[in-house]
Amino acid sequence: MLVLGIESSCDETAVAVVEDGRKIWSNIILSQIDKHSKFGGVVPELAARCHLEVILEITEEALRVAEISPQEIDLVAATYGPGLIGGLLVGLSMAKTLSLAWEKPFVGVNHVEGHIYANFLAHQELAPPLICLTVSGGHTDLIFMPDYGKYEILGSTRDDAAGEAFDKVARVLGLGYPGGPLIDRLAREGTPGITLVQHDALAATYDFSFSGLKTAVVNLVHRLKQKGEIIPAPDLAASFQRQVVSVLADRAFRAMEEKKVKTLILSGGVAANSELRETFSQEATKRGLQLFYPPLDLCTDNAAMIAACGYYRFQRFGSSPLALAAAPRLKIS
Amino acid sequence: MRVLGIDTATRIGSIGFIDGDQVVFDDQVKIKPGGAEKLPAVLNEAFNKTGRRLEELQLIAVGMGPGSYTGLRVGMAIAKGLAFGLGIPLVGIVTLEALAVNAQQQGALICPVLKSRKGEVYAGLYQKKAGFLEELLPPMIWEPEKLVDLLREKRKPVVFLGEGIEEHTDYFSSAMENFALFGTGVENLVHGAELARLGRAEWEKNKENQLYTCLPLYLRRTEAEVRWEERSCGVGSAD
Ligand SMILES: [Zn+2]
Repeated sequence: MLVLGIESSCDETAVAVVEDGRKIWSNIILSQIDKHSKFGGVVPELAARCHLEVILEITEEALRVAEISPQEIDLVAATYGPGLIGGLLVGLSMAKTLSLAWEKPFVGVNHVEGHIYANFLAHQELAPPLICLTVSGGHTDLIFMPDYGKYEILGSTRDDAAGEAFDKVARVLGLGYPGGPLIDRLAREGTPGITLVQHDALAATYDFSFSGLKTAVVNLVHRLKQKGEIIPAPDLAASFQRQVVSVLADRAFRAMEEKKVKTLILSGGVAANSELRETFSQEATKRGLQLFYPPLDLCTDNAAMIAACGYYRFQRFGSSPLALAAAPRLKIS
Repeated sequence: MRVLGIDTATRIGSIGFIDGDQVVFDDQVKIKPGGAEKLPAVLNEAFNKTGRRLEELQLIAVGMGPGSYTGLRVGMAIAKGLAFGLGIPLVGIVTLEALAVNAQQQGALICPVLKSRKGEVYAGLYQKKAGFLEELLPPMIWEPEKLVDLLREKRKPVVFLGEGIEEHTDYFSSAMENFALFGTGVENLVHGAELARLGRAEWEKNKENQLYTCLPLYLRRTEAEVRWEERSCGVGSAD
């Protein structure tokens, strides 16, 4: 079954063609990051405008690269939430009318659920049960997946998403946007010796909080600036990153133990962080667990993961109604 | 020619299907802001009810606004998806023109008015000549007072019409003295079938497929862009 997937929930306009939820025929991603970087974050109205300007060309490109005609598409899938409403509506509306015009079924996909499936595209042997840690600029979720289409949210962020905290810390250190890769690079030049937060208040739960950590960096930088002292940016980056990774690892590996699951997968843009990958790899090896993460272009937002997830949803639950509303705060279920 | 007209610039969406001189359907649907995503289902129903098929379509005409940004984007995404999916051309029509054709009063100027932000309105000025619509003023954003100042100078009767025109009737009546006329009832709504007719005329002019070029008439940059420019201009003038 060939699925056309459409993703437009944040600042990537993406369309992909995927076979049976596992094999990528094409995966076209147009990032708007250049358009938003001067604002230090995604501007929703601007993002929505950009999505509409390019979505048709991206769709055509996905079909062209896959070397198929529209008649060969069996299912149209699109993200319907969570995300920015303006962008969601563009992709969702177009997906619905493509399905009408082609007389093929339509299925709405939860973006957070989609991130899990990025790993199914990269690792053919991967199968549930598993635990997935999704960390990006928009979400930080620890999810137990006992079977295809079944999820239990173990924990989520109570304030900032991990990627958001990276962005804010990068801004206060004067690094630019997006913050994740910049902090990752700078941290390699520093030592993680600065204690930013004394204790982990949510240690008994699977939830996350990054705003205290972020505020600690911001306050420290301001204090040093006032005193006219040099800001040890590499050490701060390294310390911040170390503490984010250690909180993420604590929750993930505790969940593995409790759920007695042998497979852990990482997803989302922050899963590209080198220290995160290293720490998780070492810990997994030590505990005899299997760790998977997708290649970079499948870590960040893309439509192949939406097409893959759409395929599995369609197998299990059938198509979605054409009146399906966009849901900016959609929860996984 | 079989043409589908779609407009989602306001709170009431319009879909209309013409087949030559015959109107197959011409429906208005309530689409609260952000609710336009129901339109594909509504469209599907309209086709099923009339026993017609999407694949009969030869042209899509879509309202470009000005109007609700989100509404316009949804309408445009739907129209583009259909045109691309069916392999047929698309043309964009200014929503204000689709409103202007509703005016019945002979010899009057026609001023379609739609709500914008902060008390401002979107408006254009048209007149009918030999059955065709002539544009006297392109769509712009106006403070109602400035619009009236300009229209008063014309010393001619002006028909105001558009969704929500009731909000402005008192002001326009008194400020325009005896020169203000108003659209009534459905004259204040875009009709999909009329939009389709305008689309057909536009297509017949030079057969230009606007599938890739057609975009909403926002008439404003995003607030973030405006603020950013103000800030960087401030910095620029300091040195
Ligand atoms: Zn994402």
